[in-house]
Amino acid sequence: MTEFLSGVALIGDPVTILWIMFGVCFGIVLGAIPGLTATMGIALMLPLAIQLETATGMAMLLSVYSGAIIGASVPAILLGIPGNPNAIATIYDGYPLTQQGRSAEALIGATVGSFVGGIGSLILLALFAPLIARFTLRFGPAERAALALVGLTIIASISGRRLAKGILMGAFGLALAFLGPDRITQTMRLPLPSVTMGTPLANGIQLVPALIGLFGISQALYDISRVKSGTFTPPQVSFRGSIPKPRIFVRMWRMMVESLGIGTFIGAIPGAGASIAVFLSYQRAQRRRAPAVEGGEAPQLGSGALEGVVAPEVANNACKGGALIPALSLGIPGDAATAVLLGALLIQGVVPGPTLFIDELPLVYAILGSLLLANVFMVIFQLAGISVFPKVLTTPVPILLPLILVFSLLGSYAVEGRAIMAASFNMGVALVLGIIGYFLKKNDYPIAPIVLGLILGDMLEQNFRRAMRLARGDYTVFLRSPIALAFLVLAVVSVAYALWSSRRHSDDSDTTHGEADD
Amino acid sequence: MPLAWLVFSIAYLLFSLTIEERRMPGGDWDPGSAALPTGVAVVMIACSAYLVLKENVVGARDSKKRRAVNGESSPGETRGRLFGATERLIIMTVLLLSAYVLSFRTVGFVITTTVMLLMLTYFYSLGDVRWEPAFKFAKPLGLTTVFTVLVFHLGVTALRWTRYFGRIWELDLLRSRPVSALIGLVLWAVLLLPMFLYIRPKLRRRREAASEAGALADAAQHRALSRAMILSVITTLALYLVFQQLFRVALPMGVLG
Amino acid sequence: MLRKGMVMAVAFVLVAGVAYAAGPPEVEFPDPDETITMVVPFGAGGGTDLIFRELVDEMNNYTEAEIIVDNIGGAGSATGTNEVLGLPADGYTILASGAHTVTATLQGLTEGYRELEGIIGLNWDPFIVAVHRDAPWETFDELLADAQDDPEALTFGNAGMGGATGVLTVGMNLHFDEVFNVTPFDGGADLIANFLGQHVDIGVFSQTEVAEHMDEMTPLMIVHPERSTIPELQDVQTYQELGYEDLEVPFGSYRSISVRAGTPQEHKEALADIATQAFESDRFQNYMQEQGLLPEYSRLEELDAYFEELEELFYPILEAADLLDN
Repeated sequence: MTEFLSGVALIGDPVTILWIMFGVCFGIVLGAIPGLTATMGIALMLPLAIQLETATGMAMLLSVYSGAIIGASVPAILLGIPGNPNAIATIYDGYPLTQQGRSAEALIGATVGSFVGGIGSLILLALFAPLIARFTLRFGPAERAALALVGLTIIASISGRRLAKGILMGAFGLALAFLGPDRITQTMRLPLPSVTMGTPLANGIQLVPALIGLFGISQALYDISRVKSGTFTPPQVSFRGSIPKPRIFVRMWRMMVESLGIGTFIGAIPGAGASIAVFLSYQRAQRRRAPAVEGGEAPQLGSGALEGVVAPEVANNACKGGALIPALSLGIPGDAATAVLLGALLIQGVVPGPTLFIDELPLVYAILGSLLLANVFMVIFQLAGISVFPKVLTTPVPILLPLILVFSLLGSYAVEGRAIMAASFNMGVALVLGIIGYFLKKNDYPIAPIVLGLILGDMLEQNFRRAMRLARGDYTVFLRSPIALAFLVLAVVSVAYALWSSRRHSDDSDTTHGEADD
Repeated sequence: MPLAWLVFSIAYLLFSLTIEERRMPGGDWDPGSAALPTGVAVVMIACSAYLVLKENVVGARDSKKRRAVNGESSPGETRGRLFGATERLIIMTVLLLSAYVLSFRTVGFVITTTVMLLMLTYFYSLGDVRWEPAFKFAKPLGLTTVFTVLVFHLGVTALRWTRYFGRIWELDLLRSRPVSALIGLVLWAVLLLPMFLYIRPKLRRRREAASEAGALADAAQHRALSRAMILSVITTLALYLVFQQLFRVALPMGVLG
Repeated sequence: MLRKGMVMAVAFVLVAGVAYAAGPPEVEFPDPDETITMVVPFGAGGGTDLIFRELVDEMNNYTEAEIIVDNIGGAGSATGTNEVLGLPADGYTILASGAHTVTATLQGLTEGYRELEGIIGLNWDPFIVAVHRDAPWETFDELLADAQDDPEALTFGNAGMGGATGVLTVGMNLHFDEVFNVTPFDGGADLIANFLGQHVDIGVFSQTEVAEHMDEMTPLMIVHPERSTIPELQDVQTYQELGYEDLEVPFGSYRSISVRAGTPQEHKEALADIATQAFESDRFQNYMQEQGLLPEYSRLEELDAYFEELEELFYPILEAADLLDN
């Protein structure tokens, strides 16, 4: 109890609370600008955090982290551009909701989801951190390769009836992921190596510029046809009337719990990342939603269902708490952002690991407490912003479109922060993929599978080959591990279900209803 | 489209076959650097071949049937010109963005961004790309660029001075990034606001004169142009403050450096 | 009278305008109003990053110019190195160089040290070979005996083929007739996670990593002629004490500071002075002691010569591992 009180005392002073508020604001602004990621924000604030008291510095960095994640949902919902990889799945229903003039509803949904995910994973972190951390250690190369495979099967469920196109796009994404150095043997995999060696392409295609290109630039090119019609989206129906009733969220509790579990757990597996978690939780929400649609009462996921916004937002915020689990209890970062957080702790002379929960209990309580405060401020600032953010959409298209284009390009540039060569190259990647994305959109090819391939390619290949090498070429390694086996079964079931339901859909009728749209 | 993918897939297969198979010393258990790319190439070829077949065999049958039902003619005949206004705008956008990306490092952020924003906003406001206004607007384009560069230079020099005084007066606050960004914001706002307040009525008068004279197209052009000029100046400066001053992104200065 | 005033005013405006536009007075390198960027070619929060952040923090005490750390990771350390080579050789961009620069250059990922010039050399970070606490081995000899009984059954993990741990594991494996199954992981954190989960038998770690996980690791050998300066690790025997004097591998990870070739000599000397003061400060010396980093100071041309020695040491290992730029 005394540890708890001293932990509260560490963050209870007004200065710390002011730093938390500053961190959340900074994070939201940063996250809302495409291309600026949570990792970058934390690294940017690191020198400042070192100057502060350990607990205050950590509180500030955690606030930036929290803010950046919720901030990314704003451009995802309003413009269909994910600010950073956390918000990829948010666009599928967030953007359609905006197009129906229900952007405030979507933003509120995202805020509620973020809060549930943030607080929920915080509780899991406080209660079960060592337990979950131990379990995630059982994820070796074979298990991670199997998990990546499960991730790829999401292609089947988000492609709807366009399955062949979806698989083709997924393979294209994998092909993009395989460019650059092979991380196992350092072999260069480049077309025309005499030209491309030494250019930033030798480091492969980066995810964020690809995202911005495929979603942001392609959408902007697509929207050029609207410059004559004047407005971008229908005007917001009255703000007050569009606030969803709490009952709606209560009814989603099972989906929220599932997304929370998925997010916390995937976040806790080092190197898996939020982008997989958001897709997995979206897929689960889609399954859960399916029966209700048969009754014809509510929109299906992908065409503007609130669940499609809430589920991934619960998951990506849960990832944040999840990633802290191995970081605090084992000293292993769950993602790039927590790696910087760990670095901040190490600089202050605090060694994370099993002993942290014994030797530095007040600090642990302070970290948990500041995460709680950060989540609360996150909700307050986000709700305050909701009445302002959608005003962006009242800007006439001829002004808004150039702004989106220049933000997309500069955002892809900003990913590499201060590396001018690599950053300029990233702008090129975003533009080329934007043009490809435009043609794909025009011809009704799904774009999300490309992103999935790009995210999972590296994880799948590295871990598959590593598992093979560790097992001395024995393929049964994937069947001998219970976790890997379970994932493989899940992958097969998932594909079978998608095939079955897509066949049933096409048998039913010719309605285009029910296809996951980009 | 599927045909293009088929060609790409085959090209990718050829590429994946050229990947050098390097192995570590020790057993040959690692499937190697080319294994997964080759596998992916095969999947891509299979899918695109299926799509080609589907489109040419099944698709052709379907669309013929549909056309017969609706009594439509074949698609090519309905098009009058090669490109509509939207297509022209898209082509212009793609060309402009490409030029932006290619010249960003050498020419620098300020000039390229001003020019691109001005042109995009102008043509989007007009709703079409036409040669005659394009020619007419070369002068405002040059003027806006020179103006932005001047104002930019003024602000950046002022920021260097504040850092200098911050150092000799030992005021660390003056040297911090957010404060620099704020000073830049205030300075530019003070500089630009009166100017726009002065220019606005003038522009409106010219526009009104043009519309009274019955030249509606001229009035629209004026409107588009003034809007584009103001937007490009403000946005370029604001982007500089946000990205470079606040988030420490190293924007290239190019010819201004 | 009025006229004279006008002339005076115009003259004043002119002079002030010219002075304003010219900016603050020029000074010697480093300009106190400019920023010197230390490019760390790895992600933020990693071992190398933390050491350079500590040094940069101290360096800021010896110059009025602001020095900041900038993480540009990717392709081993090649992306950050190439980025430095693409910027002007004016001394305002400096590179956190070292053993990683040599390996990246030999692999052909960057022109690397051929286009760089040394400022100062800093230290060696010796590696420790360890197994899991629950594993049956207590000494390196036992481990080696088991490995020789069933060659390639024991897995030996490193943090990536391109890095210093990769070179070390491959070099050791060659020395012991390839009895280990050397497997690269995706960076230090990934290696530790897989090691703690017992997906790999043997790992090579930095001393701080071992010290953090002492409960779960049995350190078997420190790959350096001297024992560790970290109290918990002082019992770990060196490879020489264990009787493997002829083991020719890099002694862990070496770190230094470099600039792009062609940087003016005065600028290099100014930087070397600042960095040396920071290096010699009590704070940094204590830090190195705590972290087990072994000082290996060299200055300007001495560092260039040291890089050539490193190249000679690394070349045969990378060649044997088929990692050279073909």
